[in-house]
Amino acid sequence: MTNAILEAESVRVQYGELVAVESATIRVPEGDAVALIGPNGAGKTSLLKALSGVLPMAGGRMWYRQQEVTGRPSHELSRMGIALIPEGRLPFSSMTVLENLMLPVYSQRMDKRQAEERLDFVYSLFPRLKERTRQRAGSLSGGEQQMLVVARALMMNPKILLIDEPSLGLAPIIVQQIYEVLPQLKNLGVSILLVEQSSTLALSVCSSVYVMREGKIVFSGNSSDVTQEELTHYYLK
Amino acid sequence: MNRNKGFLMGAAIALVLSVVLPVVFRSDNYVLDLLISILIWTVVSQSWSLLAGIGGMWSLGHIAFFGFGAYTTALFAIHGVPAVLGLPAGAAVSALVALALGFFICRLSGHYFTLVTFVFTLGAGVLFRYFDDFTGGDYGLIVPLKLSPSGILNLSWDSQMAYYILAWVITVFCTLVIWLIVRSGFGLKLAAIREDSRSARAVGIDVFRVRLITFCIGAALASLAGSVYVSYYKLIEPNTAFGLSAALNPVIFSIAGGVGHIFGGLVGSAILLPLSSFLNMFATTLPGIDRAVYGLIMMLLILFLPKGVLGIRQALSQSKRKQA
Amino acid sequence: MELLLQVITNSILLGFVYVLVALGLSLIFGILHIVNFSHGALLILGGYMTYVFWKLIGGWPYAAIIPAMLVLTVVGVVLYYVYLRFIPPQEGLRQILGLVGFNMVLENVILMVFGPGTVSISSQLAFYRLGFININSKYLTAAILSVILVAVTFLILYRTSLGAKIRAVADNPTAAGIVGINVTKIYFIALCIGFLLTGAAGGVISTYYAVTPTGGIPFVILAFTIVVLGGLGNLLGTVIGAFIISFVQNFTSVYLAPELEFVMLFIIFLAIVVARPQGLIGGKA
Repeated sequence: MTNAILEAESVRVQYGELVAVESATIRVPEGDAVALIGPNGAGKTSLLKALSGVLPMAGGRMWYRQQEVTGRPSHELSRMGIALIPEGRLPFSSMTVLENLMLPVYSQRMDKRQAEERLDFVYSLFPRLKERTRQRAGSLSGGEQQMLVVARALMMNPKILLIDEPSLGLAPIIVQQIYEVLPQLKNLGVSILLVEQSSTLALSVCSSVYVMREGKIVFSGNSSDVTQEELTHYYLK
Repeated sequence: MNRNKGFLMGAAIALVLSVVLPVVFRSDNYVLDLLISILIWTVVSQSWSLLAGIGGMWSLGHIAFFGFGAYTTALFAIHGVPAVLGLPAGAAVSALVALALGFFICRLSGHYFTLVTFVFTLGAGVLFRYFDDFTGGDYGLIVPLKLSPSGILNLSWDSQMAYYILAWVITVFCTLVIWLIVRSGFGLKLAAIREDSRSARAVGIDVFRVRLITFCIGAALASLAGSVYVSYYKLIEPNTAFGLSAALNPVIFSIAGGVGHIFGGLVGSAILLPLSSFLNMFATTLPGIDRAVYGLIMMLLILFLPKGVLGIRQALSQSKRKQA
Repeated sequence: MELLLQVITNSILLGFVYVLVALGLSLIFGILHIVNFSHGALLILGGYMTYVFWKLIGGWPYAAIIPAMLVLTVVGVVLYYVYLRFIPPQEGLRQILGLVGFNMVLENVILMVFGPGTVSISSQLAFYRLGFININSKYLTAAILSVILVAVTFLILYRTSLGAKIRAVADNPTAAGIVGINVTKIYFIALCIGFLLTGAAGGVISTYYAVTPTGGIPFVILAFTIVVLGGLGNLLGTVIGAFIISFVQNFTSVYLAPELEFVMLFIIFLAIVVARPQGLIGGKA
């Protein structure tokens, strides 16, 4: 069995009295793409936020590359290689595309050559961004913002991407473009944990799947072993 | 009707104390003086609490209306007009100014509302200092100690107890007004606006109008306190009427007692005014220490006890629930 | 005509100073989302500290501004770490009141230590003649210092990687975290910069204006009006706003009456807050 790049056990996330994630145990094997699906309000976003350090964990533990990282803040985790592409995208709207992309360079203190290499790389994946490098991120379209945020995460040279509903609110053709990038990334060795509401999209890229409902993981297995009906069953039960 | 019971109990206690204490201490000038100032500041604090605690309008300029009432009454007294008319006149002036100011600011969101009221009272202070032939400038106005005929017409008495009774009447009046508002449908609308103004608007409440009316009522009540103040102390100056320190008094007292509780202002002033008086003793040797300690108390209150003394029970029960 | 040119000159010179006065306030709001209601007392503290260091060290009074800035930064950092950070940012009212309380404490501590009288830094006042205009040397030096400090601030913010990180945190702290920026550290740095600027502003003011313990009030009114005019957190707006306010203030003072300055400012303040709360230049409301 491959080593897990990311492992979390009995994660609990709550907002004050409200429990968003009761207990979630999840494992992303290195080099794999794993899907996390489930209905609205299941706690998927909260789980991702906890795994990336954006939200504190009220309980549970987490390991990154076999090293325990429970409780580390988001800036540490992202520097270690866990990149979150959040729900709502969250670009820095007041800054230009280029400035957005350069921020990881500053926070990781890359040297010039490294920075240029990575910049070239992300521009090759998203030529649209290259055309708009001096444009204010806030004025980009939804799809372009999504590309920007993915590109920005890639500038961190991540080992695992935590992606939260990238297709949300985007036109199908844009969604397609984004989903074309994901397998390319996987080929480069980047692991992926993908949250989506649509299981079809997610399973097209991911080799295993977790179903989450009401704060708990209710199913986990290989994408090839499970049918659409079975998944729906877990969704709705 | 828990609320009603709470009010009646509190009112009973307050009434008994407010009658018994002055009788017991009737020959102690110092204590009577303290009690009078407690009542005056209770009115200012309660009217502020109506705005802030119940209406959600955190005004840092409330004291200015106290000032308008005081100056109006002082001017009446000095120019031979019966001072008692200063009570309604001052209230009218304050209400009108509140109407004018409120017309602009009652639509504003919290931060900006507070900012404007803050600047407003400072600006009023500057203005009053400037037009000094009218207002006595930096020195303020002094009301003659004895006005004839003495008695209610001129709000001028020989006995200190009479002033206490005046303050008492005004305080009871103010408390009743606020209680009636809180219990009424209007009060319900006000509370709704405080909770969530957008939802309130969505259910058809005219947020602006309710806020404006409340703002004016609060101003008028504060003005009454100002009129009582100047008829007792015989002096009003810009610092007391418009200054930042004075502006914070109703705020500190209400927070100490419990913002939103009808007796919060009373509890707060009853605790802090004697404290202030005590600190004042050191102020002659070290001017400013009383205010510095005051500010520190306020900072600590905000941090540790934002719901005030009357809110302790609520805070305690909340933490008990959490442990359960 | 001569008078007009004179007033314009003074307005420009003082405009630079007012930028400095308002910049710290605007920055701290823009990044930490704290409206610093103790700005007035802090300015005055800056002035008094400058006076103290000047008395201690002697020499060029303007050099005393530097240690004053440092003192203020320490005060600000302590205030944040001991007090402010325990008040959640959503509870803006508690923040405001806590800071107003602090303002009162600070003002009165200054009163206790220095007494109620004015304190002024005596330095040579000269007038340079430029055609019809008299240029007040104190105003000029104050303006030059302000320009330097403001320029350095803008350079840091817009031309350095640190500045980019600060702007990112101001834009979206969550996103900043996920791109590896230590938001807490940035808050600390931004706080220091804000207080350094405020300390400098207080020091600069004290070189041409006698300070009293309550002397912060007119400057607070100025600073708040500028910041509201330009848009809370909008730095360019703050710059433009500062000049507009300086012109209004000086013209009112000369052509109407000195005491009406603040009346005019209040009217403008009111007008903006009512008509366009996000400021004339725009920004976050």
